[in-house]
Formats: sequence, C-alpha cells, structure tokens
Amino acid sequence: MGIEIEAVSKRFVRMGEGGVSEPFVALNDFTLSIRDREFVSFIGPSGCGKTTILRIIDGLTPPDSGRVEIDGKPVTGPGPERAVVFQNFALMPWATVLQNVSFPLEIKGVPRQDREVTARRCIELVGLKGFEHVYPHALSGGMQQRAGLARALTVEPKILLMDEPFGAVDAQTRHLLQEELINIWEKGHQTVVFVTHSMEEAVLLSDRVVIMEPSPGRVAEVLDVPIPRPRHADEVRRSREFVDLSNYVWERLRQIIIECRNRPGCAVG
Amino acid sequence: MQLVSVVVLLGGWWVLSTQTTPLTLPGPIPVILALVRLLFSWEFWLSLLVSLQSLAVGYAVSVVIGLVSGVGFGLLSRRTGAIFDAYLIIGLAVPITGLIPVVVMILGIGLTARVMVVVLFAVFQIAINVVTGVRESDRSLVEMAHSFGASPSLIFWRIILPDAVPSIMAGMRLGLGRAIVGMVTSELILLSVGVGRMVVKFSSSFQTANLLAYLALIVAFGVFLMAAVQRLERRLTRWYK
Repeated sequence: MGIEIEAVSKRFVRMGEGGVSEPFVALNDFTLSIRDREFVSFIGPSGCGKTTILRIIDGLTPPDSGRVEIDGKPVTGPGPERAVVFQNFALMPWATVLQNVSFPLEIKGVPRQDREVTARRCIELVGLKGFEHVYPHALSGGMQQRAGLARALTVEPKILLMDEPFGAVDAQTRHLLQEELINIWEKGHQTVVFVTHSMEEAVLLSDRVVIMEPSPGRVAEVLDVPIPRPRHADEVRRSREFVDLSNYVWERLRQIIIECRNRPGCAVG
Repeated sequence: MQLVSVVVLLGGWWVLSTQTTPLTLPGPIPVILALVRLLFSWEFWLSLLVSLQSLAVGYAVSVVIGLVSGVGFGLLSRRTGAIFDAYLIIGLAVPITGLIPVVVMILGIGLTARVMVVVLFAVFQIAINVVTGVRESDRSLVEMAHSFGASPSLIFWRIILPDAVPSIMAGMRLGLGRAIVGMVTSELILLSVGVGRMVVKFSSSFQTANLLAYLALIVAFGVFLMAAVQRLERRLTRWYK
C-alpha cells in the first residue's frame, strides 16, 4: 500500500523559557510519497518530527493542515492495514507473551482458537517459540521487542510503522534484530516506515532514507539506497557502498545539527 | 533473631512488672493466663462477632463506594478531577473520631451508626488510591490499544483497570487498617457492644491483666486480617517483579 503525505504541518504547545507556553512547530509542509512495499527510514536529530509524522500516518494524531492518504483513502484514525511497533515495547506486564501477541486479534473479536494459532505462528517467526507462557518482566529487552513485532504481525498489516524499535536494546542485540527484521520483511514485504537515530541502521535496512531537520520539522534530503536485495547484514556492513552511504548520511546530519545550533530556538545535540 | 527479641521483650516486661503493682502492670504470666481464659470464654467470641458485623458491612460498603467513586473521579480530566481531590484529602485528614457524636445524633447508636463510622474511616483511603491507580495508568499501553483499534470501553477494562490493580490493592489494605481502627473507636465511644465494650469493662474495673490479654487478642486478629489482604495483594500483583 502506498502512502501519500502532502503538506502536513503540526504544531504543539510546550513550556518555553520563563514558564511561558509557546508553540513548537513539529512539522512544517512535510511532503513525501512512499511506494507500496517500500522500506523507508526517517532519520534526524531529536525534535525533527520523525515520531510525529509516524503517529500522523497511523492516525494517532491528526495533522493541523495537509493530508495523508493510504492507497488514495484519507487517514482519519488507526486502521487494520497499519500496525505499530513501539520503542518501549508497550507490552502488558500482567499478560503472557501469547496473550500480549494475540491482543490485537482479541480486539478484533477473533475467537480464541484462531487467534492463538496466528499468534503462535508469529511468535515462532520472530524466534520466540517456547516463550509463549512467559511474562514480559522475565524477558530481555530484545525478546520483548520481538514480542512487540510478533504482535504487530498478527494483524497481517500492509504497512508497518516502527518507532525506533531497536533504540532500547544493547548493540549486539540490535545487530541481531536488524538481521532478523530483514529476513522477516523479505517474507512479508510490507510497506515499512522506520524511525531511527542510527545511520547504519537506516542504510542497512531501507530502500530510501529520508533525512529530516528540525525547527521546523521538514525533509532535508531523500537518499536512495541502491544496495541490492536480498541483503545479508554482515556482507552489507562490510561493503563499500554501505560505508559510503552511511558516512554521507552522517555528514548530512552533522551539518544539520551544527546549522541548527547556530539558530536561536533550536535545541538539539 | 525474632525469638531472641521476643524473649528480651518478655524479660523486660517481667522485670518492669515486679516494680509496679499488679493493677498498673501485671507480669507476662498473669496476662498469658488471662489470654488463655479469654480464648475459652464465650464472652470474648461474642464480642468479636458483634464487632465483626460492623467491620464486615462497613468495609464492604467502603470498598464498593471507594471503587465506584475512585474510578469515576480518576477518569475525569485533570482539571475537573482536581476539584474532587480536595474533598478526598479532607476526608482522609479529618479526625473522624470527632465526628462520631454527629453520627450518633443522626443515626443513633445501633449497627447503622457503627457501620457509618467504619465507612467514614475507610472510604476516603480506598477512593484516593483508586483515583491514583486509574489516573496513572501507562499512557503508552493505552496508545498501543488505541492503535490496534480498541474501543474506549475495552481500553478501560483491559488496560486502565489492570494497570490500576496495585494501587487499588494497596488502598484496600490501608482501608482495612483504617476500618479496624474505626470499628474499635466507634465501640469505645458508643460503649454499646463488642470489642469496645469489653475494653471499657476491663479498664474501668481495673482488670488490667484481662485488658492487656484482650487487646493482644484483638491486635492478633487485626494482624491476621491484614495479612490475609496482603496475601491477596501479592497474588494479584505477581507480575510486578
């Protein structure tokens, strides 16, 4: 499913200096087309609006102006074709892995037998087989996030929205999860919008990288990642193309951060 | 270690008791004898049963009112909810003992009055904890449920309420403690029945050994009730490791 984002703007009110609340422009005139089955990353310094645009695409927050359309239909709220993977996992601590993963299907009213079958399949897909009756507190961060991913996959979404999903796990686990995500995605080939802080992660996983800048949040540059698929993470990480692209993204981000620091009212880095 | 501290306490008590008359502070032995005698007396069990009546009814009423009102206030917006917060805090801070005469004027000195006193002692504690539990539910979980298409009612029953259980159970535990205090206090002041009447009977006739034994039994009973609630609390919040 393709996503059309056109001239989206969003502002929030936040506490400024001296305790006066001031408007904060999270997004200004954001326009982007995402093709069906494309893997796109949003990267940028904090405050550039990347999480905001993800929430607008999911329908959790409405834009102040502009529109988002999915396959031609405007977004008015969350929908069955989209699923989110959250940065802090958002697992219910009082429920087992199986209960957590089958929760979206339970919301949809799918009978217990059927939803358990689907949930077990997704749990196996993310490598958590055997942990169905474990509670989240007994799982490592990486495993909890895999449960979050399994949960998103149960509704067979056409669009996966991932909000810095690997930000809260350690570096080695992160590497492993990236590999596993590539494998899972190559089976399902959903349209993916992936928010991240990591240049390497963005280049490794995506077809295109959208570099954003803050104050106000907007697109700075859209980069094509012509690394061929299927990608094998370790090989890709060693390749010339990957290194060059990651460096380029970093240089671009560095420019953005420094330029932002020179501007009053811009708070990053 | 526990045993050593008990022995030390008993020893200290015995020494003190030799320094005073049996009326002021009897030694541990007469008290233990009185304790055993009480356990076998129908008077003791009758008084306990009568008091339990007002405790049981009063606590049950407090739980129901506390839960319903707590959920109601907790779901209100911050600003509106804050209006009611003040009343809850006042209710918790007011020395209810001072209000007992007012209750007696309105309700007399029967079971209803005693139940009312217990409710006044316990309900504010329970309500405040329920409000906190409901208000401080995890926003990210609410959002997760919303993103998967959950209705507000489903979000309430499956996310907000389960997330509030630890706070609610703490409120139930603290509320029980206050209810017990309320029960004993109302009887002490109303002099009518149960535990309070026995306490007054023993103290006014200077049966100090009986009084101490009686109080010990009541305390033990209270501790037993609280421990039962704590067991329940722990079972329901198992997953909070």
